[in-house]
Amino acid sequence: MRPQFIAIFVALTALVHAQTATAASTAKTGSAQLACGTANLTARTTFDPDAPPNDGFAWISQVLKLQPAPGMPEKLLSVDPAPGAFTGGAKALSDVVISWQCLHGSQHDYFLLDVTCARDDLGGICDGQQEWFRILDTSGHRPDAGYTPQDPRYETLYARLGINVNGVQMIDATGS
Amino acid sequence: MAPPVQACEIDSVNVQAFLKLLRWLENYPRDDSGVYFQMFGGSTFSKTGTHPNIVNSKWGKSSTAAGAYMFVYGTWKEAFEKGIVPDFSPASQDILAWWKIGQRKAQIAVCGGRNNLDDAFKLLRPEWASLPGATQNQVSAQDAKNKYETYLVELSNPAPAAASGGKQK
Repeated sequence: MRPQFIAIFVALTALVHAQTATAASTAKTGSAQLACGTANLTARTTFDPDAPPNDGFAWISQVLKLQPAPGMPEKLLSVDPAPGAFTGGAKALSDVVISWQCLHGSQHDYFLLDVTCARDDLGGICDGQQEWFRILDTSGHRPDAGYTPQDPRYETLYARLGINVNGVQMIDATGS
Repeated sequence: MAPPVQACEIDSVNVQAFLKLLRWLENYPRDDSGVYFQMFGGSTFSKTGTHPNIVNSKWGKSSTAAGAYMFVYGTWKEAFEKGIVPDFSPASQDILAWWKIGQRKAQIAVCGGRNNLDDAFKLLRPEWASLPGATQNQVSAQDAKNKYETYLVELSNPAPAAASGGKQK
């Protein structure tokens, strides 16, 4: 390879690294946890308030882990798979669990998760909804598996589980 | 040929009339300053340090939507983390609405006033389902335009003791 090409290659590599470092420099990560019965749910969420290309807000990643009971192994949860969508040079989640609460049902305890649509312009599962709720029992099972966001069957499901979501004060799950 | 529409600020009459139109549509048929403290389903909140983030269920749907523009918690959270708003006061709700209008690339249309309302409605339907032509609209495009004209007149000639909405920064 000619020396001038090597110089150009090195310069371009340095430029890409510099841009990556700049893009990552505004990202923030927060952690939160919520106890419910014997279970403990944790979330580790990263967002960039000034994501490229237009300094827009982007949720970058979120890892949800459930420990059903003390001493038991943690489970990695997948609540509404949020496929990454490229927005300029950054990868953003289409939706994120933004807040949560523990609800006491007639038989069991449940986590109520508020999922917010972050990028409805990039597709994903938002389906015209700005937010929706998911239910998780303390072992990680989803009684609402297969339900669409704001599915009309939720009302019946809540009644069957003996929980009432109306008036529930949610807690921020992003830890920031 | 009409001159190109210029950018404007949140305190311009066209923007203020459009924001009031949004408040009316989202809280139909109310447009008084009390709508800044409404939550989805009809209940109210009083503390404005943060978004209330309370779930309300009605019409087969659950939502944390609150305030004059029915922002869900996630929308406010993004704006808060980005430093757009410090709280959920009426003034912050107006600023947040103007920011969302900007995100939807509709600020120029809103600044353009009455001749650009159809463009603004089209661009903002994904954000506000109460806009004419959106999924939950109750008001026709013509009625919305008529209301907008009323607000333009009202805001251009404010009565001395007229109650205003949120304070603007």
